Amino acid sequence: MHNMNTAYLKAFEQSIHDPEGFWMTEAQKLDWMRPPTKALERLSNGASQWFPDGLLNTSALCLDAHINAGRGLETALIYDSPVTNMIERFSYVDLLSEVNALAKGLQDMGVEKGHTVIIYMSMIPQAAIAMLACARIGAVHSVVFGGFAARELAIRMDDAKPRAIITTDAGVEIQRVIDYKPLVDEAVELAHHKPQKVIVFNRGISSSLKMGERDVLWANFVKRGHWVDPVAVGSNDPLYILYTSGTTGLPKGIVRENGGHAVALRYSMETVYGIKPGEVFWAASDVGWVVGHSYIVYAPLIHGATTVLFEGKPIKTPDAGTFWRVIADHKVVTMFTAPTAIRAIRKEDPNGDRIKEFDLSHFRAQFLAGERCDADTLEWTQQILGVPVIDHWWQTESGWPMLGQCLGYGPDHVKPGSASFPIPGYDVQIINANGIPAGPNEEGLVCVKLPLPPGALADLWNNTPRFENGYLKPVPGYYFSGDGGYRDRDGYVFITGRVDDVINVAGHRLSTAEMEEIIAANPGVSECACFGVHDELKGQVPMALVIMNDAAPEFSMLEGELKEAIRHEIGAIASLKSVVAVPRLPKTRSGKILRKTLRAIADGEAYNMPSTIDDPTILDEIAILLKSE
Amino acid sequence: MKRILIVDDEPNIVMSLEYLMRSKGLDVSIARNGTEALEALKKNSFDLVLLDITMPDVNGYEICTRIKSNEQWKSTHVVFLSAKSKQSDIEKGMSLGASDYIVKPFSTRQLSLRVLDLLNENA
Repeated sequence: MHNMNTAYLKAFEQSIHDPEGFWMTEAQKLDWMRPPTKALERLSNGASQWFPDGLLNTSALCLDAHINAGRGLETALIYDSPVTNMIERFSYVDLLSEVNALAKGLQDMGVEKGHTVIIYMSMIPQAAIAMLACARIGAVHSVVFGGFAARELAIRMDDAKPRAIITTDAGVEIQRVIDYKPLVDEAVELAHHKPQKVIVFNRGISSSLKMGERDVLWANFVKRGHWVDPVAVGSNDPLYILYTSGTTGLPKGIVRENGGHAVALRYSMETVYGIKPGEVFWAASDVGWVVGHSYIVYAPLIHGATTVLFEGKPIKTPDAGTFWRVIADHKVVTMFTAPTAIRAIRKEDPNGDRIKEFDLSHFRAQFLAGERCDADTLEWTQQILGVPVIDHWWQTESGWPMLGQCLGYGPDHVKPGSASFPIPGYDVQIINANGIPAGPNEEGLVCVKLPLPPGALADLWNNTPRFENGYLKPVPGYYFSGDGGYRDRDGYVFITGRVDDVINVAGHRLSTAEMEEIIAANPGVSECACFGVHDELKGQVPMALVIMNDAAPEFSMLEGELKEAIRHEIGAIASLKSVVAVPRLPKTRSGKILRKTLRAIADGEAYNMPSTIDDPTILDEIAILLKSE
Repeated sequence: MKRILIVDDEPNIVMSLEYLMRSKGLDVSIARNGTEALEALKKNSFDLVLLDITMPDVNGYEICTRIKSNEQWKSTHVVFLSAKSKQSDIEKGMSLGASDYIVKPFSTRQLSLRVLDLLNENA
C-alpha cells in the first residue's frame, strides 16, 4: 500500500469528517462585506448552499482587497499576444479603473444586480475586465467561447436572456482574422430574446466592422471618472452562468455562486497549485471555458497572484517554443494546459529541443487537465521539463479540481494515466453497477458523496429539474460526474472516459446529441449516429454514420454539406472527422442506437455484444464499412 | 470650517498650497507621504484631499481607492495633483473615483476655484 503525503491526508480527512469547520476556517481568509456565521445549509434535493448569510463582492476580492493591502501597483494581469505581437501589463489599480469605467457604463444603461450579460470575446484583457465589471455591480455574466458559431450563441441568449452582449470586432486564429461581430449580429437575428445593447470593443483588426442601431463602441460606452461601489451580493447569489454540453442538444447553464466559489478558488491556489501571492501563474486556456474563468481570471486575482492571459496557440504562434518563451519571459512558476497542447508541441519538437533555449529555472510544476492524459504524453512532459507533471481532473460543474495532487501539501508519487487522489472537499467514490462503492480496480461511475464542497455547482440556470435528474438522482446521495473510472489499491483514481453521449475533443466537451440534430436536419439524411472516435492528437474526434435517403445528393457532396453544417452551427472546434454512409444502424430492441458499441468498433477495440441488440448482423456490416475508411 | 488634507512630498508645493487654502478660510492638514496621509485620514474626517500620485511609499491611486472603498471616508472628495499628464493617467485617476485631476504645473486660481466648487457641492 502506498503511503500518501500526511499533510494532504490530514486536510482531506478533516474536509470530509468536518466539512463545516474545514471550510469556515478557509472562508475567514477572505475580506467579506459581512462574514458568514453559518457554514452550510443543505437543500432538500441534496444541493449545498455554502455560507448562506455571508455578503461579499468578488471583484472587490480580486482588486480592492489587494490595493487596500498596499499592493495596488503590482502586476495583476499580463496580456501576452504573439498573434498581435503585444505584451501589456495591468496593475490592480489599472484593472480597477478599467473595471469601474465599464461597470459605470453598465449601471447607467440599467444593468443591475441579478441581470445577465453575455460576453463573447477573443482572448483580450477586456474579456476579464468585462467579467469583473459584471461582478462588481452584481450582474451575472455568461461568457460564450469565441469559437462557437451564431446558433450556439443564440441558444445561450435565449436561455440567459442578457440585457447586453459585450463583444469585440474580431479575434485572431494563428494568422487569420476571424470576425466576431457578424456572428453576434446573426445570433441576435436568430434568438427570440434580443439584448438592449451590443457593446463592441474595437481592436481595429476587422476590416469590415459594421455597427447597427443597438450597437455601441466600448470606447463610447464606458464612463470614466466615477468610482463604482462594489455591490454586496449574497454568498449564494450567482456570479456567472457557464454553458456546457450535455447529453441532449441543449447546453446546460452551470450556475456558479459568489461566496463558496471565492473560498474554494483561493484554497485551491494555495494548496492544489502551491502558489504564493505575488507569484506568476499561467493557465493556457480560453476565458470561454471553466479553466479560463477559474484559473485565468478569478483564482489568481482572488489569491493575489499574477495571471497570464495568453492569446496564442501551443504551436504556430510563432512556433513550438512559444509556451517555454512565455514561462521564461514572465517568470511563470506553475502552468496549466491540456494534454492535447503538449501532444501538438511534441509533434513539432519531438525531443523538446526548444526548451533548452529558455531559462526555466524558476518553473516548478506543470498541471494538465481537460481530457484524459495518456501515460506516454505525461512521461514525455516529465522528461523534457524535469519538474512534477500533475494530471488532474475536474469539470465545468465543479469549477475547481476534484482529483489531483496538492503541491501546497507537498508532491506525491505520480502514476501515469491516473489523476491521483481526491482533493480535500471531494469525497470521490467509484460506484459499481449495484449502486455501492466499488472495490479496488473495479470500474464504475465516478461520483462524489454529498455534500459537494464550496464552488461546485448547486443548480442549473432556469432548470432545477435537469440539475436534479442529471446529477443527483442517478446515484442517490452522490453527485454523478458522467465519467467512468476505477481506484487502484494505492488509492490512485483512473478516469476512463464519459459514460454518456458527451465527447471530448482537444479538451472541449461536445454533445453528440446536438451534432445528430444538425445532421438529421439535412433533407438527404433519414437517420444518423454520431460518436467520438480515438484521435492521436485531439484525444477524440466526432464521426457520423448516416443513412441516406432518396433526397440525398451524391455522397461526397452530402459529406461536405454535413461537415459545413456542423462547422457553421456549432463552430470550428466541432469539425467532423469523417462521415460514413451505412444502410442500417445497430439498435436495441427499444430503438436506442448503440453508440458505445459503434465507438468500440471504430476504435478497433474488443466489445461485448449488447444483450439488448435487435439485429447483431448489423455490427459486422458496420465493421466492414468502417475498416474501408 | 471645511477640512482639507494636502498630500505631497514636494515641500515647495505643500507650502504654497497650504498658504493658498488657508487664505480661502479652510482648515488645512498636511501629509508628506502616503503613510502620513493614511494616518491623518484615520484621525480626522476631511471634506477634500489634494493628492499627489507619485510618492515614495504609498501611491496616490492606492490612497484614492482606499478612501473610496471605506464607508467612513468615501464621501471625501479626492483631487489628484500630478505631473502625469497622459490622457490614460487622467482617465485612470478619475475611474478610481477622483472628483478631479489637475495636471502640474497648475494655476493656483484654477485650483482654488475647483476646490471651492467641490466643497460647496456638499454644503
